[in-house]
Amino acid sequence: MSPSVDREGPVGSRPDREAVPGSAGRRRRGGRRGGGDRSMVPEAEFTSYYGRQIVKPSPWEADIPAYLFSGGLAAGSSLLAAGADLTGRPTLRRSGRLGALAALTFSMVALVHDLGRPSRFLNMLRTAKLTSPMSVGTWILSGYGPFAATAAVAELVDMLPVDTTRGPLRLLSLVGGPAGLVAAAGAPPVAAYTAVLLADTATPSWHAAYRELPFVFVGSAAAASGGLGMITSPVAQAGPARRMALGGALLELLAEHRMEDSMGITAEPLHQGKAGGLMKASKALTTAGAVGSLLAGRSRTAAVLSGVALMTGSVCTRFGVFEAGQASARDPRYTVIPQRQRIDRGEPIRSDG
Amino acid sequence: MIGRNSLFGPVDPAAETGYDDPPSRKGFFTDTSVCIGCKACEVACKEWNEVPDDGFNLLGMSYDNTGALGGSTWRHVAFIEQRKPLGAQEPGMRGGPTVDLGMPMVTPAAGANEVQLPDSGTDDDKPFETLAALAPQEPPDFRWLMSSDVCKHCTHAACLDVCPTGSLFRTEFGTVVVQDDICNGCGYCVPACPYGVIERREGDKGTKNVGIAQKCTLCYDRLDSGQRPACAQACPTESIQFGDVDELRERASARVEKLHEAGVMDARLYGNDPEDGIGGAGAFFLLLDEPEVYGFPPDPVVTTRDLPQMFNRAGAAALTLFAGAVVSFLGRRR
Amino acid sequence: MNPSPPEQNSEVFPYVFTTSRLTEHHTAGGMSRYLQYLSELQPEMFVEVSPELAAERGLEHMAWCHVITARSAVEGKVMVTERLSPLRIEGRVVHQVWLPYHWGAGGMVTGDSANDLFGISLDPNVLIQESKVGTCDVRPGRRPTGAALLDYVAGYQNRAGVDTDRHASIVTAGPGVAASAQSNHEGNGHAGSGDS
Repeated sequence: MSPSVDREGPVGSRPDREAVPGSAGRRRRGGRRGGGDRSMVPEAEFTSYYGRQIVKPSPWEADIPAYLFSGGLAAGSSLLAAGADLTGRPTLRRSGRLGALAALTFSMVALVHDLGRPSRFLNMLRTAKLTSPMSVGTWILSGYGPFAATAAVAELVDMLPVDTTRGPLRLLSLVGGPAGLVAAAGAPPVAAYTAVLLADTATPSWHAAYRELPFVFVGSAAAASGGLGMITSPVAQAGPARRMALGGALLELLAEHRMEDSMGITAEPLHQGKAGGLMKASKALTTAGAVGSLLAGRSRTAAVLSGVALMTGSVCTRFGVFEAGQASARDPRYTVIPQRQRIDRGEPIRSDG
Repeated sequence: MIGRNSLFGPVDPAAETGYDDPPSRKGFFTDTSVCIGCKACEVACKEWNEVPDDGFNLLGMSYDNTGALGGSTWRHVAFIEQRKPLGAQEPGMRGGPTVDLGMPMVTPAAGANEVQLPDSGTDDDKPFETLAALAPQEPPDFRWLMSSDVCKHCTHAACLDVCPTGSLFRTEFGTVVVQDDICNGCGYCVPACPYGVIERREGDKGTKNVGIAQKCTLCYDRLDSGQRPACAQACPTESIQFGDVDELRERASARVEKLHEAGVMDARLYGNDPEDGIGGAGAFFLLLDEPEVYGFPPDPVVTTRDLPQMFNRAGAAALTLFAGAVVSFLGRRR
Repeated sequence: MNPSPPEQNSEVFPYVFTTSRLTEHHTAGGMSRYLQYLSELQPEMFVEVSPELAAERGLEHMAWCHVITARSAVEGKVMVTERLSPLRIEGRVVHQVWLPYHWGAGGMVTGDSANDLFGISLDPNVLIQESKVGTCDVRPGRRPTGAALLDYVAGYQNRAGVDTDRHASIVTAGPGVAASAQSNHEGNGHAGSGDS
């Protein structure tokens, strides 16, 4: 590295800025990760401390990306169910409501299991904090969940033989409709907030994606729930599911493409390793499912295959984005390089403009 | 309570949080130019806070076998061996003849590698090795940086912002502390921290506070009784200085000036500026090289700065989903 | 008493080693190796070598190596560092090796004891043990154990010619001194009791 200071003082200082030794001048090795020659105590490179991560990856495991999928699935299913209720598509309604309940239940189990102290999960309700997407999400789920559950239970009650249901249970059947509508109103936030959850971190590949990730996630939710609708409903009733599936898939693919374009170097982990494989699979499956949805209007088989492809693709998307974030946190280059580039451009983050 | 700089920009954190008439903000100034790498800070912290050991691993990172801050390491001493000149430059002795100290010395015979003792007893002595003068050559540049890392207690602390249970809170001293009995180990604070400080403690079931987020408390329990944090108390060179953040910042600026006058032009402050991406750190540093050399992010920013935009985008996406669902049901029954 | 250049067989123990302490442990480690907070700071015995020596002997950073003297061999992880540099003495390159002496059996962290390397040799004037510096060889890989270790060290002793009694004269006063001093100057610094 050419010296930033010689006997005369700091060299290369910009005239309009107080010269901070070392920050003026070009980086000698702009992109290399730290660590370098492993044959001795590694000479500390300027980019990192022995190649070690700076920010920490989240301690989350499969629970969270699984929840990302199931939360989106529940939300989309509730929307489909409510629409089906209003337009007389009973099978679509049923599968939407029950699918939402199943996905919601799985979501709650996954979220509690993920905690370091699961017995304290109720502490999530101690406070409502706007600066915490997880707190906001907790209350969104608390607002959405009971209504989605009520609608599903009403559906289950309807499935029982008529003479086994008495007064109170009959009541449930009546509130099913309104509950389902409230759930549908609360569903879009459920599908979208998880993108803020990931983006509101220092994880490079998550934070850098914050503009498009919500659209990727809602697109994925629509595709997955449309896929579930196609699998479970007869062709005659599944029209809206097919349209949701196609629209969601297109939105997801388009938003994903724009997202990667805007992420700079932090888009790399989306193309490498485990995350890269998952993202590739998700694009392939989502595309296949979208194409299949065009044929699903004529063939139940095509509908099922398309639905499976879309749901699997949605799982791959969530796991792929999750893994990419984790990988971006583990490698210091994704933290150091964008920040160092900012500084070198003369644009470090400042609150005084 | 929500002001212009609530999420980003200079602010007094304790007052911003709502404390009436809080004491002056407390923090650390860690002057790494006098750190001797003794790790007394690591040990003192663990002793006081009953932090469990963090694994017995020879890491090969010079004398750093701790690795990084984490749930069970709240002070971490970094060691960097570098090919750079020591701070005090140019004693002016390079390239000249070896100094003659006037002691019995071996002088090489002309043109030969053999040497003779000046007063050798016999004539036919074989050449005799004694202590030889080092060949006069420039010793290579070398310096060994040592630095004690700690939680920065940011003015805008991302960990605090994202904590969903309210476990992380701002104390009246402006520090950030985890309430051990509330945290449920959701782990959200871990990826939020731009410095990679806080972590969920791992370990066996019986370990104290296992599974929940743990980090430096700036010895909140010592501050109440007028004591210094354990690491500051233990540091033998006063590399770790504890006090009012305002006063520490002044002291630090003066110290950097002094170092620059002495020719140590690499000296710079890190985290002292209230206009930076986290609003300035309660625990800031004097470094002798780029931040990333020590494992610090060069230009950290609190993620919450972008949160309003994030919610806007998510809101738009939610509306898109709703609209898409509506559209899916329009039209002919198919 | 290992041979040194230009004595014969001096290439058997070609390097110089010294021992000293680390901050994190206390003397032979008997008290510090049982404490978790100290043990985790320096958990393993290691051997510091220069990059040049590492290249010469094929030593890899953080791989095993062992240091052999005429008395024993101890193993440790390799720490390649530029803090050690080869010396150029009389046109010869002399490599230095450094070991900490804090390890032994027992405790949370165990390892070989560096002081096993030193022979029972005392300085001729006040009979203080020579336990700070000596000559050695360094080889990659772990040392043999049990009987194999004895054979291994014996092999070194044979090759170096130190399998017979060699010791420094301890006559420091009296009629034998002059003769002893004379013989000190003979035989290339080999202070023997007359046998070369």
